[in-house]
Amino acid sequence: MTTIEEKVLEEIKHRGIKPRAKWVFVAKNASLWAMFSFSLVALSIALGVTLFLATNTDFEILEDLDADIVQKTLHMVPVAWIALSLFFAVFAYANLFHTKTGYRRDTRLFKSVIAGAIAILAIGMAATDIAEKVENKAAHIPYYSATTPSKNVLWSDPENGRISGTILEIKNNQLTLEDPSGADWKVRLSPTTYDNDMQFILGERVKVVGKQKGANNFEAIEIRPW
Amino acid sequence: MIVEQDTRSKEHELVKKSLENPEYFGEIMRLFRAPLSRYIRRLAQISKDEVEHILQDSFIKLYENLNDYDPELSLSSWVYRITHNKTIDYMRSKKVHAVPVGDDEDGIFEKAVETFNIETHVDRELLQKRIRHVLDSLPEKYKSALVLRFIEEKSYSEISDILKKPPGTIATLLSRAKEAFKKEVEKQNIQHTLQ
Repeated sequence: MTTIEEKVLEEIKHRGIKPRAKWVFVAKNASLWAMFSFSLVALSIALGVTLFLATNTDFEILEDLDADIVQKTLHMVPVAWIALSLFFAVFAYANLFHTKTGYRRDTRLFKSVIAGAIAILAIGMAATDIAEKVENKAAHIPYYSATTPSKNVLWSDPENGRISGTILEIKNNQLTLEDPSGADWKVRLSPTTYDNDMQFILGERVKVVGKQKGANNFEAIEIRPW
Repeated sequence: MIVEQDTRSKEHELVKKSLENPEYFGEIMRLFRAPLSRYIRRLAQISKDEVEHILQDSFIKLYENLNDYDPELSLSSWVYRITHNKTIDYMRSKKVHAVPVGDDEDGIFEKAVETFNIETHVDRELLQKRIRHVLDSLPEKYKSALVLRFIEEKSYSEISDILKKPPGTIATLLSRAKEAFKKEVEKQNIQHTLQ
């Protein structure tokens, strides 16, 4: 009677089965660790942008927005970035568990170190201009503004009395601003314009609350630092 | 510890030799054939031919993956892991319901009654007969954990390696599995009383 061992050895011989090369496993494991690392960096960026947006929300203008509660919530909560953070967290976890020894690293110490590193990276990105740059790049993605409380979008609404831009020129009672889309705005200042005691500096970005007067003219009621 | 290291180095040596000559792989198969057959039967209610089929598939996969063997792991845990996964895949593909064969082979059901400290007022004999059905009704993850711990008598660390789950979660998994088992035992007993 043929034993299982004999049957298996016969099949190995008959089908010419060979053990897979070691490098295949090494490469697979290395790519899983690489994906894990990439996911952590992506997660840090997503959290950094979330933090940046959360700390830069203009809560004071939310009341003035002509929007329902859902839209206002979307203006306050960076849903897309939170979703992206969750996605990368799950992706990182999945990759870790598919590595050869990842399951053994699911210890409190390991999780604390990883969480600490992510927090430091995210805070670092939000505190520097990295998160803002990423957010500005993402703003070009179609439908992005519908899911994210973009400060750029909120302050690019002249019809509702809000614009923003970089100061190109300063005259006695007029500022010339370049908005994020590259358009120039002549912003007229009046004695009643509240300027928050700002010193206007060329190249500085400001937010303006006021009224649109013609195609690219704006009358300022209040000017705030960006 | 020294014995364990010695065993590991012997296992590693056996794997290395199997890579050079498949005949040595026969030795690995001889070592694990019987325990793995039993393990497959304990996980799935399938025929002897099906057990053999899963075992053959597992051995071939084992051979193909010899270069993936991690010497930090015991050969037994690695072999059990591959067989466990093959068995679960088979059960899912065939929609096979869990649990063992016929009689109380090896007295495992008697052992389970002891292990789970089942209430003494409950009819022991009745419970022994029902343990198969109880295990059958548990979710696969609980059943696997209980079989590995209390029937295969694997350590927490071995179960962690076989199921590829973090060592810290094994105690919780087992505790939940035991709870689920006890609840099911009580439930089935109550049903019986009402009949």
